[in-house]
Order: sequence, then structure tokens, then C-alpha cells
Amino acid sequence: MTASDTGAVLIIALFMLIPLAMGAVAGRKSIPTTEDFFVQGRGMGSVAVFFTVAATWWSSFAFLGSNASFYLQGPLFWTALAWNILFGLLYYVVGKRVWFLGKRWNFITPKDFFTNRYGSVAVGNLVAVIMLVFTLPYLQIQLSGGAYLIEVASGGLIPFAWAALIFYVVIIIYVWSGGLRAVAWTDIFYGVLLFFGMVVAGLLVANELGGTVAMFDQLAEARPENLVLADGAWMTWIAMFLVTPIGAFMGPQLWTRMYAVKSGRLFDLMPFLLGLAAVSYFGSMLVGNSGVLLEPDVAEPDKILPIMLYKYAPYVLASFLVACGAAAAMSTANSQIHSMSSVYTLDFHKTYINPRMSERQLVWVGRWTILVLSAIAYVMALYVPGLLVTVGLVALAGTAQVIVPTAGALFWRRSTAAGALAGLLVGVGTLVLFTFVPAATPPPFDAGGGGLLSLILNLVVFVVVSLTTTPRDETLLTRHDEDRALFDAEDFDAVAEPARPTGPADGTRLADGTTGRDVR
Amino acid sequence: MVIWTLLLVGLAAMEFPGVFFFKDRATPEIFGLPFIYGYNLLWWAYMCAVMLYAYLVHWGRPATAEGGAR
Repeated sequence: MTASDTGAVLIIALFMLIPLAMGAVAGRKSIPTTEDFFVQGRGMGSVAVFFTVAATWWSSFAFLGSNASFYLQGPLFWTALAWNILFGLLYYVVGKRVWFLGKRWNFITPKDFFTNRYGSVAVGNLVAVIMLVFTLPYLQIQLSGGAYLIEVASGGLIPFAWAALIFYVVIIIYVWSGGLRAVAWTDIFYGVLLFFGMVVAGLLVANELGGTVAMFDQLAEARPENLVLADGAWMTWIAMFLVTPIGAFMGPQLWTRMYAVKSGRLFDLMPFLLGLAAVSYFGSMLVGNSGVLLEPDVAEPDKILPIMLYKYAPYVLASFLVACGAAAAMSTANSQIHSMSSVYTLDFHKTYINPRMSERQLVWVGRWTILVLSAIAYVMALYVPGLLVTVGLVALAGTAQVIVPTAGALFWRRSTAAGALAGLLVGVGTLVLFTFVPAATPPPFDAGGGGLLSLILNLVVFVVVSLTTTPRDETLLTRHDEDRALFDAEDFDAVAEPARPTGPADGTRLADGTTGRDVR
Repeated sequence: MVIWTLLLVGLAAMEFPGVFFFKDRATPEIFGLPFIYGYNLLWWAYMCAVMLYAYLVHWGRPATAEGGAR
């Protein structure tokens, strides 16, 4: 390892120690209750919400995968400008309603929402399983992305497997200690790094070729095909526009960030803020396109950013920017681990294994779950190959399936639990089929639209089965109408004091098969 | 309704014309960028402006008893 490599690794290590310190401080402020550990007591302020949502939303997929996509596929990833806006609009339209209901009915996990709205534990359980299964590969790509960065920064002397392990140990320590508060605080730090890192890296690299305009002029001469979309790319373009934001938005980490918000007013501003932040993709676009000219033969395109930075930028600055990339991966991974832990702990462990656990014991189960899920993702990172964007899109298409029953519960009185179950099973089933047997995907969806087709099939089955099965119970529909009237009137005072459980507080089952936490 | 119409027009403009009608055109350049980059960047700016306007006029909030925006 050269002196430069050592310096680079030390700079990245410093950026990993800062969140550890923040986690320790957050841990002192936390209280040992599930509501505090998992949704920060529903008291997350505006600045923290924006940065934790943005930092969770931007991941290795955005910071590293985007560069690789521009490098390999030209403008295809530019659809990200539109999907960032769609993500913001979803946060306003759906997120604000989910926040309102979460506060009113004291939801902590996504399952709580579905069980409460559909009166069906089965729907809640299926959603929870989908979220756990499909968040794992997305977690895996954060780990891979972070490990790539450390591997390149160390000049290859810290191998991928060790780099990934170091990366995850840091995350586990601070999520373990501080819960959502630690995650949100570190995400403020990471969010700022990320935004500037993406933009500065792009400008820096393009400057090597004389600036943005000069770089594109040279690209027009050398590789004109990289300036236009490839034949048949339209399906991938549209599928990515829909599947990416919906899938990310429906991930358990974003549900947590809907429930935890203190004030409903923030949701009105989020579309603008998240849309504006999409300008950071300008940096990725410059890196990917410059890479075509500067480094045309990179064997692993996901490494194009760190490779170019260490070659064309002073190593201190390059290391700082690589640390920003690590921030992208860490800020998403920490949120995913934390939210998956809450899903398992509250939806399965407390419900089916030990319903009489104390709050303190549940927090400990949550912490051990963090350890186990991280270990699974680590093993996947070592043994499941694939480009970050490719693996990420499959994961996002899986969580995206949840939007159908979510929208049905919020906006369609005629939706039923049977419709939700049938739609989800068909959607996930076809997604698995299209992923493992690509030849089964019919045209034109065979050109990168398998995830989108599975989402469409989910929607069709959901509507048809809902219309042909018995409507939801009158009690549930009355509750739906009352909640909607309160929301439409923006009567947020009505949720200042969450409705108290009508069922046993210890989580034992009621006559309708749900728990006291499920139905209020 | 006006805001949502503006937003839907913007999203449709970002997603469909570029990919269906201009997908193999790198010119005319916009701000020195190949066409599809510059074109979508312009619509992105438009969308940000609409979303800021929406926030400033308190979108989605119910009308007050007097009938004005709250």
C-alpha cells in the first residue's frame, strides 16, 4: 500500500468515525421503547426529515450505479430527473396520508397500516414478507457499492470481502446504539456530503476534457451512439421511471420516514425539495460520459467513479468524494437495516414468537435482528453477482408491488383484502418468473420492462378480484370514511393524541384474529 | 386541478416525446448538451417551478370558510 493509498483509506475511515460519534450521542438521547427506537417518538423535525429521506433515497444505485449506466448506456439513466419528481409527488400524495393514519392509529410498521385498513392479518403479513425479501438485495447493493469504494481507495489491498465487512460493522454499531434517531442524524451529515459529492465529482472529471460542452463535442466525434438512446430503450426508460421511485418509496425504510414525521406541513414542500435535489444527477451524467473518453475499457463499470477520481483528481479530494459515495451507500443501508429490523421484531417476533415481551426486550430483539439481516446481506454481496443497477431494479420492482394495495386502501372503497392478496401474489410471482426466466417476459416488456409488467398484472388482478369479492366490513369502511374526512379537512389536531388500542396492549389476539396494535 | 394538470403535462413531456420521437437525435444542442439531456433539463426546471408554486399557494389544503386558500 502506497502513502497515497494509506491516506485515502484514513480519510474514508474518518468519515466513518463521525457517524459513530453521532450514533453514540443519539443513543444517549434515546429511551428504550419501540416507538422511540423505531419511529423516533414521531417527533422528527423538518431538516432531519428532508435529509434522511433524500439520503435514504439516494443510494449506491444513484451514486455509483448511475455513473455506470451513463458509461454503458448513454442517456438512459437521465429518466432519473423525472423519477425523482415522481418520488417527491408520491411522498406528498401517498406519504402524507400514510403519515396521518400512522399518527392517528399509532402505526409503527407497514404491516400495521394494511392490517388496520383491510382488517386482514394475511395482507399485513404478506406485505411484511415482500418487504423483507426484496429489501435484502437492495441492501446487498449498498454493501457492494461501499466495498467497491474502499477496495479502489486502498489500491486493491483491502479486498472486497474485508471492505464490505468493515463497512457493515460501522453501520451496525451506530444503528444498534441509537435507533432511528442515530440514523436520521447521520443522514443529515451524509445528505450534504452526497449532494455536493455527486456534483463536484462530475465537474471535476469533465474538466479534464475541457469542461461539459467540450466533453460532449469530443464524445460526438468519438462515440456518437453514446449521445442518444439505444433502439428499444424506451421500455427500460419508462419502466425505470415508474418502478424505481415507486419501489424505493414502498420500501420499509421510507414507511418509517412517513410515520416518524412531526408535522404534516412538511409533506407539501417535499416534492419541490426532492425534485430540486435531482440536479445532483448532472454530476453522475458528467462522470459516466467523461469515462467513455477517459477510461473506455473499465472491466467493472460500477467502479468507474472511484477509478477516475483517483486517476484525475488530487488524492485528498478524490478520497473526500469517495467518502461521499460511501455516505450514499451507508445512509441507505443503515435505514434499510433499521426498518427491516422493526418489521421482523414487531410483525413477526412479537406477534408469533413472544407476544408478552417488554418494550426493552423488543428493542434488544430489534438490535440482534440488525446483526442477522446484515450478515445475510453480506453473504449475498459476496456470492450474488450483478451490476448495482440490475440487482437494484429487481429489488425495487419487488417492493413496488406494495403500491397497489396501498393506493387501494387510501383511495378505493371497493378494494378488498382478497384483491390485495391476489394482486400481490400474482405481481411477485410473475416478477420472480421474469427475473429467473427472462425468456418468459413477453414483448415489448422483454426489453427491461419485466418489473413494470408484473406491476400492471398486480393492478389488474387487484381490481378484478376486488370487484368480484365481498366488500370490506362496514366497520372498516366507516373508519375509512371518517379518516378521509379528517384528512381532507386537514384536521391534524385530531391526531395530536393517537387513538388508543381497543385490544389487549400486550399484543395477544382479538376475536377477529388481529392484535391490539393492529386494530383500534 | 390546474397544478396537477401542469405537473402531469410536465411528467408526460419528460417521459414520452424524447424517448419516442427524438430518441436518435443528438441535435439541436441545448446549453451545449446533447438534445435529450438539455430537453429533459428544461422540463425538470419547469417542474421544480410548478412544485414551488404549488407549495407557495398551499396546494391540497381545504378552502377556508370565506372560500379563499388557507
